[in-house]
Amino acid sequence: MLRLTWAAAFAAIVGSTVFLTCASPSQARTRTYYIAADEVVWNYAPSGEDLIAQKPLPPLAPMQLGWSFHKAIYREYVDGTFRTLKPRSPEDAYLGLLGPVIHAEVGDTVVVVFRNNARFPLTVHAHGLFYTKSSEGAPYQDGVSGWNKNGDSVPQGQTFTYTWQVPERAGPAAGDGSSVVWMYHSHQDEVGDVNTGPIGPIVVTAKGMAKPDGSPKDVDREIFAMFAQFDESSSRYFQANISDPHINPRHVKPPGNFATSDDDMWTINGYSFGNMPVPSMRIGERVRWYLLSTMSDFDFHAPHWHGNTVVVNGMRTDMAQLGPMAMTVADMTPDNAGTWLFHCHVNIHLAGGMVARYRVQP
Amino acid sequence: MKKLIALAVVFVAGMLFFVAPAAARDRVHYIAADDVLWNYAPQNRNIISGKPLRALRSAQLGWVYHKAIYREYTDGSFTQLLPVPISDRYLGLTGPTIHAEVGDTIVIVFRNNTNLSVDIAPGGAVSTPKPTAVKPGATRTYRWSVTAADGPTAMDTSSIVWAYISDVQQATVDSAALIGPLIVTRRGDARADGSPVDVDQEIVTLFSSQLEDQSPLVTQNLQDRVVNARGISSHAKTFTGDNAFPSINGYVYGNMPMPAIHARARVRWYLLTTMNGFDGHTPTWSGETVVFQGNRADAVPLVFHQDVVDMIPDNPGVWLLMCSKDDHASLGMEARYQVLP
Repeated sequence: MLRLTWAAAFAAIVGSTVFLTCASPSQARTRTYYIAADEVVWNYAPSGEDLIAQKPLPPLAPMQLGWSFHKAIYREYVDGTFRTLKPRSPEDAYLGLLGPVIHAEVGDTVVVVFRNNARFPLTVHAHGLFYTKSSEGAPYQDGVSGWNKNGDSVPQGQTFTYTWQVPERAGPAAGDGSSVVWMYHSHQDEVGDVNTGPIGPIVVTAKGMAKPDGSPKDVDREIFAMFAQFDESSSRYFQANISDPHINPRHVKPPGNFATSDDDMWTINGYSFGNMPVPSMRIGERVRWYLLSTMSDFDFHAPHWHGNTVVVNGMRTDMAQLGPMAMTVADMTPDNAGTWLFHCHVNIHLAGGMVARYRVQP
Repeated sequence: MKKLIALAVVFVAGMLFFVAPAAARDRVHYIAADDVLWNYAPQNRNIISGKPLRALRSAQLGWVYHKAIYREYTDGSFTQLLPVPISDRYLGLTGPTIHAEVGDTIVIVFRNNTNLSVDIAPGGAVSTPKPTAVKPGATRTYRWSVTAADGPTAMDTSSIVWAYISDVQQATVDSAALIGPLIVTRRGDARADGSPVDVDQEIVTLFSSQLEDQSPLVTQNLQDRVVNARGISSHAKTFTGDNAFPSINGYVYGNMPMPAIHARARVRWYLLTTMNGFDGHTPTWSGETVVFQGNRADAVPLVFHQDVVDMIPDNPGVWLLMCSKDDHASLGMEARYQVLP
């Protein structure tokens, strides 16, 4: 009897040790990203064609400057010298003007070393993660001063380091899957900044559910799609674009500030009319789509997948709903090979070019 | 043995006392529709940027308008307003908060102090008599019975929110601001005051694009030389847009008094909206996150319905609460809230 008790105790100790080893969450990490806001000339339709219909792009609207605009976008560098861009793999080319994907597991710390290479002050403001005032990246009357304001406006050529914690409340809640998506964007002059382009995604994975790179273990492939009405007349480069003959060869003078919709670009990841490189996945893979939208007046979108269905919030659908500043997750296990449409189902948005494709390989 | 039996009896009685739902109550409120001069920016500054308010738009009357709002009184004489505690001043032009537990009856003694024909009609509950227009100066009593069909389902939080409105004419809601919150708590989950026991603090915000051009008081506003000091005509080309106020509880550009909440408290935010074509909002918090329909978020869609979101603040400071739709944000749909340590 005594021996049995000892045996039971031994088994319990061994068992719990094994259990604790397996179940103990991975070490909390500090994940550092070197991100610059870079000035680029962004072409919403680089092929010059409507690749969905295989025909020329629609004629320019009367007050439309063109298809290319000066923009500022977040790009990732290999280190703090900001000399060498971190290459983006061809299969991630569809990310377009989205900034680098930031991954974190609950318990981690995210450090963003930010260099502003644009000609006006910009910031990095994170949704969802825990920041103190100095790392909020948004100037307003919040009762603090001095160094707490340093991250609120990073001038041209300057570098600022943002530190964000990833507590439980930044990760999945009871009704979420193993990961959630947040947006980071410049919030120096919020409306102008978002239309200017510096925006990227953050994925936070539940504690114990992350691969070493921070992505969720129970997902084989992550796809990001940002549905954006870019109002170029509210961009901080609006005047620069008007006066640049390469951008505005017809020398049109749009009135600006919501006054006309001719310079509203209807985009997915910064591409219109099927110009987004086609993201690829395989039948049977567990694919997680992260859907984002920006904050313009008609940023109400209905992303629709042809060919396959998704699960959003526990319910089967082939449509999602996005309002301004939406951050939504849709899970897909494709069963239908082919090249399929992925578009906003709002008529004028679809007509305006908010359409892309995705490919499912056998 | 006798002692044991006595103990058991006491125990069972105690259990019954705690488990048996509270008896259904009649909750009486004396609410009037009052004519007020409402100032969207009473601090006369842009409190978010710390700069002066933007210049008036070309056809904007000003920042102050005649409006009709719901206010609560101490009794049926309607002579004394029920004092609004300082901590609730942020509610602004949003009507008084009405709480009910499923099973309760809300008795509304309603006085129409305006010159308009208005009423008070609940979302959710059934009103007896059915609300119909109440003439200026008249008083009417309504009984709103709150049944299980008006309360939270199994998937809801312990309490949900409805809007009570003047439903005789949509403009009295969207442009005169006759709207307030009716919070319904699940049977057995309520405190004596009707608020949910699993929540430490409740905050109500109305995200509304108030359209003054459609207000039933527009003529009064145009003719009032104080309100319309510049003598703007309603035929001005931009009259509609220039007199639209995307606002939170009737405040723009951070003029809403800051609601203060406590770190680690269980805070429930009830979000209301109105129903005009300029509504369609994304309430967004900086500094904290919320749980909305089981999902983590810091920006939630609010389009022609009501939302309930839960927050357990962990980040002391003064933070933004705003609509993320850029034309609304530009027009001042921004406020602040404070998290105390």
